[in-house]
Amino acid sequence: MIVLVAAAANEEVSQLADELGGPERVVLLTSQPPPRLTSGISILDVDLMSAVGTSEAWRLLEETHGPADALVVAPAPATTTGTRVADVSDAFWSSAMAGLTVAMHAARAAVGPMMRRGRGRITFVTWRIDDPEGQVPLATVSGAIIQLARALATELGTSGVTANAISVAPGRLASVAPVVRFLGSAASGYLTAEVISVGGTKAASSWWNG
Amino acid sequence: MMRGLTGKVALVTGAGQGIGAAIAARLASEGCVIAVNSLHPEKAEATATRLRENQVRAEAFPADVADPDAVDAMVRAVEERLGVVNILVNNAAVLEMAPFVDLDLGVWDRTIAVNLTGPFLCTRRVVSGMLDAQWGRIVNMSSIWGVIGARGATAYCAAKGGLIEMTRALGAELGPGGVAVTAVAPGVIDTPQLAADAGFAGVTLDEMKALYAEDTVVGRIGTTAEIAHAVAFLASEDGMGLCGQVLPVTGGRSE
Repeated sequence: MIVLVAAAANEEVSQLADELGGPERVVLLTSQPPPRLTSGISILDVDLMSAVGTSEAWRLLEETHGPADALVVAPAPATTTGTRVADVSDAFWSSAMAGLTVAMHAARAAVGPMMRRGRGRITFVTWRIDDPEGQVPLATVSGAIIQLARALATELGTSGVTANAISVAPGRLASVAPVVRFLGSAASGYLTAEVISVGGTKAASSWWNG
Repeated sequence: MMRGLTGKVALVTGAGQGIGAAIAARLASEGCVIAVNSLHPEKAEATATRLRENQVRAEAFPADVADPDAVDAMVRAVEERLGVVNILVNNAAVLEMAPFVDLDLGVWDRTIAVNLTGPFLCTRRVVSGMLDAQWGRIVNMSSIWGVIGARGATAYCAAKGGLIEMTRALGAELGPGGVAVTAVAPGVIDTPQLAADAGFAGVTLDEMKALYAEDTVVGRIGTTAEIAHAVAFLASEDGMGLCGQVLPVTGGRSE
């Protein structure tokens, strides 16, 4: 079973849940259920800004659906327009930082049960910022979540639980599904503390080839 | 099972032993037809024979990947006997440990020729067939040492680092044509190379393995099957999502 955590489950998150579903059971933990309900996806409404609430929800979902093999944390919805740092409001900054808090709460809820079982896969999905101008909050959160993944992986060590980050361009969230499945496979246990960029490279979008 | 590998013709260089042999076996288990390359004819034949014993279509194509004429002849033979190459795994490599001050120019030249020029020659030879088909996968076997460097392996590190940048540049160039170019950067893997490393470090093989394991997050050295698993994913239909990327499979030690 894959547990997909998304602070706000918008259409992109629904698409990712669809892609991950099928052979795998998917449970969506969210503070804001998606507008479109997908068949076969279970949804648990929870306040992800509460550490206790998230851990309690995790306990409940494992009681109901069985042990979670993987945790996938989706990024908070990206803003499309840039904001210069001088114009970033406290509210905007706080809402961006909420993505980091949710990731931390989800990881903290998952690691205990996974380490006790000696297996598990934790994947944080972050936005890849190809043009960082006007994207200070988003870039900061993405960087923080990547370091959260790396540091967490070192703590998980020999436990059999891995932690990695995947970065992807906004609008392409569902395209991470094959990499999530690959990381989730039993033979991917030697791949941990890494950042995998999906869907293009800096070179691929360089100025001279448009 | 990985998506889209059934029936594909995969040329794996340096498949006579170690990681290359494991990659050949894994791609075979995913339904690929395997062209087994090695510098040593008897090693190439041994791997091909093992695959055929498991009802896999596989043939040996011994050649020195650093020799342009040999590469041309090898790929022509693969095309005649198995079909156009759909997947190329540039795995053949040499590694000779030596302190830099003692590094012989011949060793430098041979290391660059096999580990960097070899992938260039093989890629150049197969890429037009892939572009014609608008589908191809090139997986370059780099190394964690091509990312972070290593004492006593200057030539090897330079070649593997070069291969990473070749992957990024080629990925940008060939990706739009349906050819995904990617790289795997393995960490320390349980292969015959570890005995050579132990000799250079002046320790026993078991001590070498323990020292390497200490450097990882997961507390162990990796297996050839774990590397082959990553290669199979990159060679699959889903590999295009990582075009131009380097996938470190290191047990958590790439920084």
